[in-house]
Amino acid sequence: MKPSERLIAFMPWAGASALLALIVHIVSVLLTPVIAPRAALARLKAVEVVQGLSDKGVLLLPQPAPGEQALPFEDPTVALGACFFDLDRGVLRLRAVVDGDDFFGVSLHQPSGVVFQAVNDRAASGGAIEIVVGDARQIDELEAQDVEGAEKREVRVTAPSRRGFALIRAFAKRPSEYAAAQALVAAARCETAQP
Amino acid sequence: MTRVIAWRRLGSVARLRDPFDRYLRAAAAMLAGLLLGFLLTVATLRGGYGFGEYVAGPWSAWPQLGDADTDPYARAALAQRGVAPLARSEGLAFVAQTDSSGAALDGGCEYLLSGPVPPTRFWSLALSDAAGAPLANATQRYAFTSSEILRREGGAFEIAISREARAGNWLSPGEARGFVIVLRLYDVGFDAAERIGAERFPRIVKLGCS
Repeated sequence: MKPSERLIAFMPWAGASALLALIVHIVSVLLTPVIAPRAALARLKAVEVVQGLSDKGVLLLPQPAPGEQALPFEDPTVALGACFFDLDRGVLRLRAVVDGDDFFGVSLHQPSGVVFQAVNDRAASGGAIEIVVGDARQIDELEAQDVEGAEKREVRVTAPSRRGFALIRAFAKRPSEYAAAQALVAAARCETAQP
Repeated sequence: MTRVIAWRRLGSVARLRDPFDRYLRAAAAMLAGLLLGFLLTVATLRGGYGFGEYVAGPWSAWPQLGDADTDPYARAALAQRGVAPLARSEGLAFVAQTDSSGAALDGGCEYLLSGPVPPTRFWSLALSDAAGAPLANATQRYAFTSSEILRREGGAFEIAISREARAGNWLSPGEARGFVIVLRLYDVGFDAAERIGAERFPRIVKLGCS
């Protein structure tokens, strides 16, 4: 058999391999956020098992240091706390007081770590950040309960996933201010409530 | 020996009438496809966070990580590394894996980081390993912030990165061989879509190696 014939005979098999490779690649990339065993939510849950939540429902994370970090690539100058939500058990109500001077932010994440909403101290109204996370039905119920004309202080967010977490970040300008930043995180309150 | 024969059979079209050869070929094509697909996934997830990388000199960031509509590669890379990124309204993290000449950062070398920082309300500059963990060192200092850093008249500053103690602003990579530098900007004062250039970012210059 001539080499050219051999090549032609080989082509469909190579094509099949390439097509399968493409399918496997696409499926594995799309599945990774769902099945990755050490995604952000799983890491935070592992910390919760060890130290539990504060009496205000916040997981207070240690200052990032060698061998002592809940999540990778977190800033050692930022005090960090986390709250979990599970919409099957109710909406998450998060309230954090902002003292105004330094950066303070709350971000909402899916289990994979993807952000879907964030509020920082500049957008906080009345010295506090108030967020309610729920699904479309729960948020609708809340809106139905609203009193006409009353000022709405909380930020209502429809979550793209049933479970997830909120990260509370307080920036400490100097190492001596880190304890104060941690106290600010610890003063936040998270509760699971029925709308 | 049998393997060689099987391989030769695989390459032979004349033998294709033999059903066993077809099975062998189909199995080989499937295995190759599976392997190639997984290798492609591993390679793309190692490289970064998908599309839209913002490069400025040695610094790179992925601004779309702060949005809800990230691409599938970014989602997969985040989940696989366990990272929870800063939202866009919070800030933007830049990582340098090399110095300004493009050479990989080496724990045995001394570097001087100087120059401007893009407009932002606060920033912090930290050393970490490639997986995002702070580096163990004797000083137990892992980062500097924009507020605490010692500045010269006019506001310019420099940070020495070295295993040996240095006067002024000094960060130590400890005994780590390789490391990365993370510059986090909080309340960013520019639009990431503007892609301001490398001249607005700190330079990282290698001074020498021990």
